[in-house]
Amino acid sequence: MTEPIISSRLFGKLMREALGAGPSRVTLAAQRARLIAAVSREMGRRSSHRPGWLFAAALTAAAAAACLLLVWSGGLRDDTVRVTFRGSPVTESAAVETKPAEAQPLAFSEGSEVTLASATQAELSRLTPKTADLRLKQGRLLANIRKNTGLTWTIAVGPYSVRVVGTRFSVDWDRDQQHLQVAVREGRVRVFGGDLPGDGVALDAGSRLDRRYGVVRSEPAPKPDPAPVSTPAAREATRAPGNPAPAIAMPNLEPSWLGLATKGKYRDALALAEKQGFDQLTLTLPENELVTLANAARFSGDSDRARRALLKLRQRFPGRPAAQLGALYLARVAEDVEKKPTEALRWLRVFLQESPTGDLAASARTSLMNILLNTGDAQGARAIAEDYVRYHPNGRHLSQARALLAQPRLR
Amino acid sequence: MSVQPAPKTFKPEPGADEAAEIQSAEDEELARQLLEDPVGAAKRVHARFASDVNRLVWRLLGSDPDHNDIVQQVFFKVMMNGRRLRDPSRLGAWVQSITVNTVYEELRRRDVRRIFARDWYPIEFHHDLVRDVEARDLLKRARSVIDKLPAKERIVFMLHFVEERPLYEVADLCGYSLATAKRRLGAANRRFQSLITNNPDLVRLLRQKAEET
Repeated sequence: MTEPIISSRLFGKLMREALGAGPSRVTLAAQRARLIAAVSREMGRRSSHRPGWLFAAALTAAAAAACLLLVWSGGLRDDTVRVTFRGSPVTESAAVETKPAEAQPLAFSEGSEVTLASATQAELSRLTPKTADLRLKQGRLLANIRKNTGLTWTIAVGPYSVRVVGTRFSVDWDRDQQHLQVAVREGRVRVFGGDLPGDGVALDAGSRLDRRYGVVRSEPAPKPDPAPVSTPAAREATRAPGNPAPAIAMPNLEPSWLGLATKGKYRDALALAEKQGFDQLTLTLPENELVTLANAARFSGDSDRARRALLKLRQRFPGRPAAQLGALYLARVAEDVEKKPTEALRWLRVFLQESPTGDLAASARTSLMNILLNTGDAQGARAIAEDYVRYHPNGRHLSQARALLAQPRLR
Repeated sequence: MSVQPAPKTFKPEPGADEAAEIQSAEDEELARQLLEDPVGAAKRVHARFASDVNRLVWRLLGSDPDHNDIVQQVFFKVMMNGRRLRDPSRLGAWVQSITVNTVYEELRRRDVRRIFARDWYPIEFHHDLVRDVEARDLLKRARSVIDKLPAKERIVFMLHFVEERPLYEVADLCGYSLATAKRRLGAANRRFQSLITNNPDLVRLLRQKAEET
């Protein structure tokens, strides 16, 4: 019998260690409150259905009346979805819009949220317990759609429509240019209509559709070809805006660096990001994507780019959790890749100053203790060990910290 | 899959001591309260089993974003099905059995969704998994392998190798005979080796982690 490449037992052990102890105490408390509420609700529901022939007869009559009402009202259900915008309820056919430099969420009671970016106009064109239809008239929206709620989502954009199951994505629509951009972060959507094929175009996580009505747009924009247009693709690319293409046109579906990074293909992601202009990306990406870009560089061993992205993250989003995390990552780059313990110490201290009791603080204090010990600063390590014992009484390295404190002080 | 009665062949730990007997008596008392006053018992049941149920779901699913919902399902089943518990002193084993069944049902649902809906979902974690990035990266890659095991094999594999349950316990928790549990574990092991062979990055990472620890 051949030797296993990695023993299942070792795999199990490493999984166990990486998973750690489980959810936090806060989560457990929330679970308990939710359970008690659910059991109370269920027991209340059951106790209100006491047997007895009179009660049963009354119940039957009430049920029959309810059925009649249900039929009469066209299937009205008590799981009606409610929508709020700026704290006020939104009804079907209502228009919603945001001002410049303002973003507002359209909150759905089943848990989904559609955020209207600045200067965006939209309309809740249809809302039933099974259907939610939005129309994006102009601007940008970011959708975070919950899965398995029984609600079918469609977002109409000019001549197109985006059909959704459960996912996170953004839709941009420039009405004047008839320019549509759909970027999918999670899950899957299908885009229909306009000049797309009859069965639409499916977009997976990390994919992006960039489309001008009637024209395929690619990055960088294609240069005009002096030669006669011969291939269908070339004809497609040079067709004038406003002149719809036949229904066979294929959209531009490129893998994005974000999609590659999400799948763990960090080197490929970094190479693609480099093609798109790494420094430009660090100036324009939203904070979470900038963290992903920095990590792609870090995991690819490109410490220089990782540092540039992380410094930009801290510069652009000061005070944000991502910026605090950036300090920790800068410490990791300095410690693991560049082997600069002094630099690592500096960033670990910055991280702990900004986030002294955060979830990653225990890990940061452990690194700090180890680096200080390795550099011969026993007194400094002791001070950190004291902090560790105080802030992380259930920490994984509590015994190490206590052992350090138990050692006699050097004079 | 319906809620199973408590496993009958669950072997007691060797040298079951006084503490276990006290626990068993407390469980009997809790099981009675479950029938008489489920709302009042909810708090106690959660306090008694939250740590076991959470750990089991956490490890079986690998810090899944739906973790809280699944734990809620487990407790709800426990609270609503108290009368199906035949031996109140075996409340603990019964709760674990419900936990394993609930996770199994969830994995089966996902398997079916994957076959018919052909939906692809990115690997996500519960928001409480805030460990260092390297651990997350390892878990992400490990989950990409584990998620490919069929539900029946995955449950047995995770219970035995991650949760470190002996095979007879795995068999009892899943409602299998010992022979079936052994066969499933063998199949899971073979499939795991085949999957991991095609994933050299993960092998390298695991070896590196093993050396570090």
